[in-house]
Amino acid sequence: MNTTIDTQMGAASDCPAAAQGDDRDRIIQISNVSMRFRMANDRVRSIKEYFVKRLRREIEYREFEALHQVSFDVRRGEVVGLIGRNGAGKSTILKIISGILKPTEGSVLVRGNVAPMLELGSGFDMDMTGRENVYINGAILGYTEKFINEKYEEIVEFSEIGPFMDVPLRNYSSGMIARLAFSIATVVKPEILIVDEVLSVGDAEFQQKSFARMMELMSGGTTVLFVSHTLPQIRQMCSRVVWLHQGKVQMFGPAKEVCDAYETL
Amino acid sequence: MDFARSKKLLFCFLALFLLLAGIIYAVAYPQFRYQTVTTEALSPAYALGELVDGTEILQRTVIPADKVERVYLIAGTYDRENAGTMLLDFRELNGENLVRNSFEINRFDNGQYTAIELSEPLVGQKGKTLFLAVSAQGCQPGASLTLYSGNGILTGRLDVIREVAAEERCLVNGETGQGMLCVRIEGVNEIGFYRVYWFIVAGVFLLTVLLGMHWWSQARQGKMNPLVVVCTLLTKYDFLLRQLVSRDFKAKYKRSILGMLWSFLNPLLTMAVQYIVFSTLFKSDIRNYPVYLLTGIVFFNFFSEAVSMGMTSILGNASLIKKVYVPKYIYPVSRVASSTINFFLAFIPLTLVIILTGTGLHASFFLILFDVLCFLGFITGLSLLLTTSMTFFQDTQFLWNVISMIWMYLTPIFYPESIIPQNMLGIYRMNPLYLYITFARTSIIGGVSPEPMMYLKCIVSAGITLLLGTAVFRKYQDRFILYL
Repeated sequence: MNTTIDTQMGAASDCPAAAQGDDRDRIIQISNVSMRFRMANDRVRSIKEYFVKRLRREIEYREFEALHQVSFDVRRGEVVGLIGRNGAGKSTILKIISGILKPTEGSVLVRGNVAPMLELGSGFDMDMTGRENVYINGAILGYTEKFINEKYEEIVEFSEIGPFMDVPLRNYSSGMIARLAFSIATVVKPEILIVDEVLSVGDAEFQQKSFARMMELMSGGTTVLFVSHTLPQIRQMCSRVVWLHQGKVQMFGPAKEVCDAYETL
Repeated sequence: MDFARSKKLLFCFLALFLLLAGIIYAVAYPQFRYQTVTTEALSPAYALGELVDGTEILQRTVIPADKVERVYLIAGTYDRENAGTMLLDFRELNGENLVRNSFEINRFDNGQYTAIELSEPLVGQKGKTLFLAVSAQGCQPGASLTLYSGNGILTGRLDVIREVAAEERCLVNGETGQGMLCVRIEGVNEIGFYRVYWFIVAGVFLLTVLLGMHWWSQARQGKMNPLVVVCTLLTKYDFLLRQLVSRDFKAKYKRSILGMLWSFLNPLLTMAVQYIVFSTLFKSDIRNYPVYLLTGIVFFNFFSEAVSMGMTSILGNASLIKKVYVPKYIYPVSRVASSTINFFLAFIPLTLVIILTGTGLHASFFLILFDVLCFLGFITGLSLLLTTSMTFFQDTQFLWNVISMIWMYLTPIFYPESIIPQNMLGIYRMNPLYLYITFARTSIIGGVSPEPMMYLKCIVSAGITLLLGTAVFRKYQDRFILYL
């Protein structure tokens, strides 16, 4: 129902040999993943510029390693937190898991459907009405037409913007847009949910409501990967935590231990 | 991969293939069996004098076809009522008469090539040099017409003057005249294509089935191949594709009052303008100029819209690509698909103009289906290629504006092909757009199927472009995100 990664990662999960024994339980397996970006001094955006710079040998690439030999795994039904300073590589690893980025080295195995919530409201079109956007956003998140038809009322009810569903999105307030987006993204029960700091949506009341919805999803057996800078939230929700520091795994273990270590830093 | 639905799709595809093959055979049978050939037309330069009893005009000529069915002659009627009979003989060089046809001379239009159907066709003389002899019976001075000779090949606006050797010139009552008699000989050759057609169809069908089975077993083992890609697109991502297409389509006319009506109006208005501007220049050279023009416009507009939309598909959907994993080929494909809807809508005014101008809908109209399928493949391939290039170099966009303009002038949209110099025609006809547009015009205006070679050229140019586009897109798609 949700976006699976049908590159070699997804394909490998169908392979019977990989599905033996204890491995079956590990819904995400990340082994020795490195991600390097080649950063040219100045990104070349035109053909002329490319050749001119090439001739003058001005193109120098600086390698930037966003992730270095990262390995961890996530078991089915577990809530795993990701912590670390800005630029530690948290978003990069989430993008790799959801299939948006391909790692330079290493392998990623994902056994299940991934629902990415990297940023809410992907593909919202400001000229379209709320109703049209529910359908297109749902399609992007991988829902079927039948599913959206069934859940449409639920989405509208949760987002609390019923009367505005036939108004173009450009007339919405930013809070309304975020509420609609959150409602669409969480109406489904995916096998793996990737959450990147999206709980601070709407007013206090809606935040509480969305927090409750997240807890409900997690207790329902969904595996969650969770990025947050709010440590109390991490302690409350996660069973295990990965601490990334400058692209490397600094620590990986039970939530309490890792959070304590992170705080004493 | 959804195997049950994919299986259904596969069978649908094979059934469609056979249906299309059947339609093509039913409609195109005459053109698959016979090929029409015509000799070059000369533009009239010298009047040969009144054709009266006792006059005999001889012209040496090489017979172009197995069966000569038609002769075109150009005559001056002096704008008066003429009476009498013209005798048209094909003669061996030694004077032995092979075939004689006779007809009334009052049927000629003044100064224009007029077709004369031969009730006694000339059969089995292909490649031989014969005399064409014209004489008169019952034609009195003051009530007859004149034929012309010339030495320039008619190529629309600029004639190519060619040197005519002495023995090639026409003979009027035994005296060598100036230039050659203005005559076009038309006939048909039998080609064996209709006999091998079903073998080719069966071969392609068998190959498709074998390849499909091979890919099917690969897919079961979880390997990627084109079959998997197409099936996932049509089963798993069909809803997304439909949503993206309807978004593009709605977005286009969202804030306009006439909305979808523009899809009809746009080609019609372009046609009206170009008709007014160019009709005096080209009208006489082209049969049914409005339909000729509109066909060209509808096809070229589709091409230029689809490619420029497809080209920006990756950059335009950057916000999506950065956040959600969806196979990236969806974006160019959805853009091309929404342009295709526009293209189909434009067929409504086209059909209207066909009916209003009295062209009539021929059975060969259905051959457009084949043409459009190839055209779609070509456009998709080009879009994939250009969107890849566009992602890395945004200059592509501006370069494309220039290239598409040049391309427009290199394609016979509003002008007739005949204005192109003879020696450039070979290169000129390699333009894929020329192929698709000419194919459509032959089937719509001509009412007959194009020759078998055209089918091959259409498929090959579409196939090469599609393969190249897919290969390049696949190779670079993982790096797109680094440039968004």
